[in-house]
Amino acid sequence: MNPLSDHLHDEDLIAYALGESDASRSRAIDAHLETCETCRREYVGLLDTLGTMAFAAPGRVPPPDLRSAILEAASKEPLAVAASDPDPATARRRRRTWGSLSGWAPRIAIAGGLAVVLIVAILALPQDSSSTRSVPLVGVHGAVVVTNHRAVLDAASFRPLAAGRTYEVWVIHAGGARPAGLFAHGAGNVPVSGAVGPGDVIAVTAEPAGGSPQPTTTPIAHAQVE
Amino acid sequence: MSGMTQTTASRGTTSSANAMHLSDEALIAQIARGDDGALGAFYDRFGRVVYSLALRVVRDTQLAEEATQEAFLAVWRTAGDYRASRGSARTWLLTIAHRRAVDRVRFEQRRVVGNEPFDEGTEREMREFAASAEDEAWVVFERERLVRALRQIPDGERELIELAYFDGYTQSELADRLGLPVGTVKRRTFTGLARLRTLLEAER
Repeated sequence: MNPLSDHLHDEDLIAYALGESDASRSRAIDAHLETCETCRREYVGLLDTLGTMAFAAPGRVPPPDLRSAILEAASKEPLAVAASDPDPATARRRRRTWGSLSGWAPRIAIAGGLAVVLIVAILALPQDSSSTRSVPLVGVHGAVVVTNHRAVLDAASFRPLAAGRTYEVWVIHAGGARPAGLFAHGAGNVPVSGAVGPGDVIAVTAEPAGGSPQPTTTPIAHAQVE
Repeated sequence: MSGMTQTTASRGTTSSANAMHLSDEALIAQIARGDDGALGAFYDRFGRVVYSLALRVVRDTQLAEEATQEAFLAVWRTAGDYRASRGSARTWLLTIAHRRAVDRVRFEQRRVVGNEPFDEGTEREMREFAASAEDEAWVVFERERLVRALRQIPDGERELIELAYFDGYTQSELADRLGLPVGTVKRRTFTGLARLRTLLEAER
């Protein structure tokens, strides 16, 4: 894709505003809008006009319980951390659900197999291999730092949760998920309780205050220990 | 304003009395901090507009409720992504809501099409604008401003805008349906929207 040094065509602007540009075109247009004040003004004006069209819909009153349903659903949601993606639809597609975690099973199994190989390899090594590894988190800016089967989660970037909710850390391996500690927004470094091994996935969910024995919501962030 | 923001943030939730004085953008900033009171206030401000839009697009109350809920949950999840340089908070919400509703209608294949001439549809809807007297004053104002502007746009352009916006047709689908080159559809839609924008700005 060319870097779009010229101003955007009307066709590009309209397609992008209506959400019809394909992914690579969208990226190029978005990058151009970031730097070109003229096109940005044009785009914002177009989006604003399209937004005003909403008022042409006949005015209807939503059912009274919709408000509480939305607030209730929001209270159960982990707060996704600001993604750089301007389109919430694609940001949403990136989110994992526990359902899709079942897709991890083969990977965890493979990782488990690898772990055996690794452990054999590690046992064969002299025991001063106290190497520290940092694995970046997926989903939230941060990392898990692992030293000698102990892990610490850098949780500085996790956002505040709704009242009555807490972050919970999980260690997921082929046998399931085990709780590995709670933390709140602003916690900084959080020790992951218990030992972690190669192939384990460290995940974080938002849970009701006090934590849950098993995860009940979508993981917000995860990292796989190497 | 910053003092107020700080106070509400430390308490974790914005009361509706406080929220009334906050701008749309300030509410989004509070929502990004996980303030569910601000989310409630944002819904109180725009819930009807979003639901009405969703219902017009999906034409089914159950689907409209789902699309409305998805739109506000998307706001809750991604408020931290909101960039003022890309438009007002209201435009941001309405863009999200519109995409959610259009996604729904495309997914469900529930578009009700071709069963009424454009002009009749528009006239009927324009009559309904007047009927919704229980809306807040600012909504009535926006609606009347838009109706006046829409009436001044050439029919061909207004039809394209309405079909794209309310029925979720892509520009190439419109080209097929109307037997026009896609370039013509895009140009005409763009010209119509540019005209509408000028008219709306003149009405401000």
